[in-house]
Amino acid sequence: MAHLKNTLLIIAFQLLAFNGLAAEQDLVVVVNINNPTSKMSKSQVIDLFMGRNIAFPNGEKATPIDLIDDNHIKRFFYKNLVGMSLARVNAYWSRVKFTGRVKPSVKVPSESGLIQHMHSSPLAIGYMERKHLTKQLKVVYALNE
Amino acid sequence: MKIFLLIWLILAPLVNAQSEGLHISGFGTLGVISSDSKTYGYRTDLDQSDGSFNNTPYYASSSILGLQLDYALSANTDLVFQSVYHNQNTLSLDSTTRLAFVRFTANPEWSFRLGRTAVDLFLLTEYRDVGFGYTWAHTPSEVYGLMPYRYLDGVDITHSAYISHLSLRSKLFVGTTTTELASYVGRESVKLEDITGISFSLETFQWSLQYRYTSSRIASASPSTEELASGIEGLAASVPGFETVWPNSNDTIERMRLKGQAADYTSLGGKYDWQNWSALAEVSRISTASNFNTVTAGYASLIFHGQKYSLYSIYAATHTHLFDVDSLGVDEATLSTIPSGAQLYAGVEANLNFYTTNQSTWSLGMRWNLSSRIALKCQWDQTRIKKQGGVLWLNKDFANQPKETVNTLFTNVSFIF
Repeated sequence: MAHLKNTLLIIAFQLLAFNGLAAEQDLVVVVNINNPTSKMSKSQVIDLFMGRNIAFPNGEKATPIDLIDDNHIKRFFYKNLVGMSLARVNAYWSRVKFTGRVKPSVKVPSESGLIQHMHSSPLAIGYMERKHLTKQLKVVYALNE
Repeated sequence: MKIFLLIWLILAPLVNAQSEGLHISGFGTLGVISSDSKTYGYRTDLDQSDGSFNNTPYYASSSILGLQLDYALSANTDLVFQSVYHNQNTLSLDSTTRLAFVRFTANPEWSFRLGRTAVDLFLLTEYRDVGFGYTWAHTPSEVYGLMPYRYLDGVDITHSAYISHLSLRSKLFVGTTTTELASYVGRESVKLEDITGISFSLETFQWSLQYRYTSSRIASASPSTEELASGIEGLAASVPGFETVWPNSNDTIERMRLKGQAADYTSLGGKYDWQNWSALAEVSRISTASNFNTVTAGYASLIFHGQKYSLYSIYAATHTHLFDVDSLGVDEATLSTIPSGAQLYAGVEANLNFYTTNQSTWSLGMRWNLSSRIALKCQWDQTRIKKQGGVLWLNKDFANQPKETVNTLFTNVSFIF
């Protein structure tokens, strides 16, 4: 009986963990509602978040907003976007940043900070869980589509 | 080591106290090198006058600390300053400043930088000191060991074009740079002027193909070469019939003199990433008008990326034709009877073959990402040095460079903050 109870508990924890993972993987790339950009391709999102381009498809200068490394959403975002661990993403960025090629991106500690930043900046672009979307933001790319 | 800790104690509070528009960040490497040769001492490049001999651990050459300040003046203009401590012979604002430029981004396609930028001669020269930025424990010495240049004082213009998911980046740069060459004889400053370079990069996020060409003129005279030249001139003036002992001695002097000679740098390289694998390769060439023979070098590397670690191998080689001093037609027997004649002749031979590097290296290594910002790297190099081909290494007897196989171990921790 005790063995069955333990097994059920393990299954329950695994299901919870799976649901958490699935929720975190439902990530979207968002811009301010006043931004004219309505849709972006995966390669355009990669170019902006990996410092390869500094503008939206219409030529307007973009300001990518990133989360700090400690935030687990960031880890899922880059794993899904470029298939790399954060260490490899940071290695890539260190090549871009410390050669003075590109300005470092703005970093915020949490999704709430990111949302606050994006509400006030029409040229900002960021990523978050879909469930945290607000009316002042719009989705330009979804990672799980 | 103490100076690294001291600098870190000063910087750590700054990193956490950044104001609006100001971004403070940095990078560093703490490492140890151990090489098993009694003749050849490993050094990272030609500006290093210390190295690892006979399995003695050596720390300074592979340790580095850099601090960078990025400050946005306006939406289109920003300032970048980077200071690097790296076992410099003299510590000054000039020797530690790697980047100090103002950038104007006219639009997403065009940007201009004025000031001190990273020299962009070969594929990795811009970030060769940012160890966290690449998988290996060090950049291949065969290509980068002859390149002590770190910065360019001048201006560059970059154009970026995007066609679908393909990007084409073109850069034109002009300016000057200065470095030091070190040997057991001493250190000499080398200045390059009239540098004009272009670089083209065609890439997607998965692959990249890059070409660079730079032309320059050597603007500094070498004191050791001038000493040899005046020695030969002195003999020519004082020894009757010297022209029969050393025919066309003036041509030899002109061949040795660095000042005013052209030096050109060419590189073709690229990388390809697929799934958990990366491949990287580069071929480079350094050529000068007369003094030095053309140096051709290259490397190829295959990397496997695991969850937290990467395993890799590199093969690198460099080739230069030795200058045949017999072609000078010097009557060595007669010259050796003239006081200082033999020493001058040996000096000329060493001088004309200073840049002759002939060696190949197989490397195996591992990078372990301890966190998203700290990596531990271990690498074993086996280098086959050909006779008179070991200029990349420190050698107490420059005229005697025997053939040898050298094993070198690298262990370092690189980080960013």
